[in-house]
Amino acid sequence: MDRIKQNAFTKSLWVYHLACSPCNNCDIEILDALTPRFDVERFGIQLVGSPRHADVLLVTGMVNKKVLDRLIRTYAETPKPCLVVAVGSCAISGNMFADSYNFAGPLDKHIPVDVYIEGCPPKPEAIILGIVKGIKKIRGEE
Amino acid sequence: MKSKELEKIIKKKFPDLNLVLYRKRRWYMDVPRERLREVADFLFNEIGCRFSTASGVDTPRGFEILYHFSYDEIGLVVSPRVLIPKDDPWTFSLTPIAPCFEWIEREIHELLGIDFEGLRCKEHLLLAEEIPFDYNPLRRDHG
Amino acid sequence: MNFGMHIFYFVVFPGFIFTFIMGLLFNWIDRKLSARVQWRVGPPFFQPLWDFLKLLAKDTYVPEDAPKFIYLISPLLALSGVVIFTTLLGVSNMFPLEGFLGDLIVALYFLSFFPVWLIIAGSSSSNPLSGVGVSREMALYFAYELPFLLGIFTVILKSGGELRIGNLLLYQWKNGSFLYSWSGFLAFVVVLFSMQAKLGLVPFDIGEAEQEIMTGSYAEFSGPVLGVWRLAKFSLFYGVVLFIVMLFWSGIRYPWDVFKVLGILVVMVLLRQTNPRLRIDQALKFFWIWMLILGIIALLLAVRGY
Repeated sequence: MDRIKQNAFTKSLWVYHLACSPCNNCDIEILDALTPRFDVERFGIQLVGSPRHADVLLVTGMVNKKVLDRLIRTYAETPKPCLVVAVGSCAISGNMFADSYNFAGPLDKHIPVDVYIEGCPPKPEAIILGIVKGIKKIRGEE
Repeated sequence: MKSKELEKIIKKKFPDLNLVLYRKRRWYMDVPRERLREVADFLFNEIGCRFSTASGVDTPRGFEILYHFSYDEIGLVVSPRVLIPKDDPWTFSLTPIAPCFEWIEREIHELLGIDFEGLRCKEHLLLAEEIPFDYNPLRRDHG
Repeated sequence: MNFGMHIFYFVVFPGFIFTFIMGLLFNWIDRKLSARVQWRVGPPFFQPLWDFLKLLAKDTYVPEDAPKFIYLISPLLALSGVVIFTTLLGVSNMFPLEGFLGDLIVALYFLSFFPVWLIIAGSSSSNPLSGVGVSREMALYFAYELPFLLGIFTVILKSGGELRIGNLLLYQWKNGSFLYSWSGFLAFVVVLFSMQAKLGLVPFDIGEAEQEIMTGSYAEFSGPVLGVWRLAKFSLFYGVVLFIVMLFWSGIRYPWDVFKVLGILVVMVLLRQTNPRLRIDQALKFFWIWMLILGIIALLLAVRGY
């Protein structure tokens, strides 16, 4: 039974793009990964419009004090089980904004993160590799 | 109208405000804060410039706010410049002329701490709501 | 027909289980064809089944201010309306002589379950974006319902006033499909566009615009409840295509008539892939001016006998 659940979850991941004040470069690369050139719909990955339909939260951008409350509420809204992916160096560590007056801490200080995708911005291939690693982590391999 | 004509009109209307033709398409004017509304009203309503944005700077002489009005017919930007003393940081708001000045004035108000008289909504636009009003990150003596 | 056979027809074929399977199949054909049109590969065959199973495995969060009973019962009622609709159509196709007077009207009634319960569910979601989706969906419903009914009247007129689906089929088997006549063809075009709007497919998916209003009425549903909504929507796709084939193209009589169903499906998917989304005022103008004129012309041609 668990095996079927795991299989179903990893074969159909619905992605929601959650942007906490990024510079939009990571957003453009995420959009590129969803275009026909890379075609992630073969693996069942679809972009959805509401966090309530999402299985994967792709978080981009630096977490600042204003968006912190909304970020936590959106994470709470997403039905579990859910995979949180931090895309880009700003979400992981703050990049060049780490000692800014508005910085509220790296992403894993506020919500549990499963996959870290580095880069400024990461290439679409790197984003897909990150999702694959997330899938392998759910299935318990490696 | 061409730029020579515009120059004559501005110099005729405001002879005591010094109009500097810094580059061919970039003009500056020094305006005391009492006459700011008059100048902005003239540029916005009579000449028909488009309000582009405003920049607030913390300089050793005081706070400087530049309003950038773009005259799209010839690609010209006219920037009236207001100098505000540091111990008396307030100026007149331009929102009675048009609503488009509201957001940039809110931003300057919360980041530089300059009070705009006549601005109705003074809530935080970019900073988080729970931050107090005397926290002005873009001042040089902050932090 | 005894009671056991009735249960069999309702639950297994052509009822619930068959509609479920056909709904998933139609969703796969839709996505694969869309992918091919966009030069992509597209999802594998069992993808819609994996989507449904995954949704069953997730949590359902009911919003705090939502009336819980209505929120949870609305997808079930929508699904039941669709299943009754497809069962009625399937049984009428298999046994054309055994319908009851007015079963076309009953079928139309159950066809309207899905949009109405979608509107109710969107209103009960306590989300302002769902409210926007609901108002758009209601406006669209008023728009397409009138030309749709004109198309149905044309069919009824052409067959000489028959209100049984079985008798409409028999008329077509004797005298040729309605699609091959002038008024029938115009009525077919009107009904096709109306059904495209009922299903919420582009260019009329203004009620569930993903990018603008976070999928509108579906925004607050999650987990198994969302699974039931999607199942109802795909089953309605199957039911509507079957309805159009039965009403205009002589239904399913020989095994190769399956290609008629696939043909209508391909037309609807290609319409979806080659058009942008219309604004609500453009959609209203389209239905109330152009489709209404076409419907009235079809009706007049049917009266004259063409």
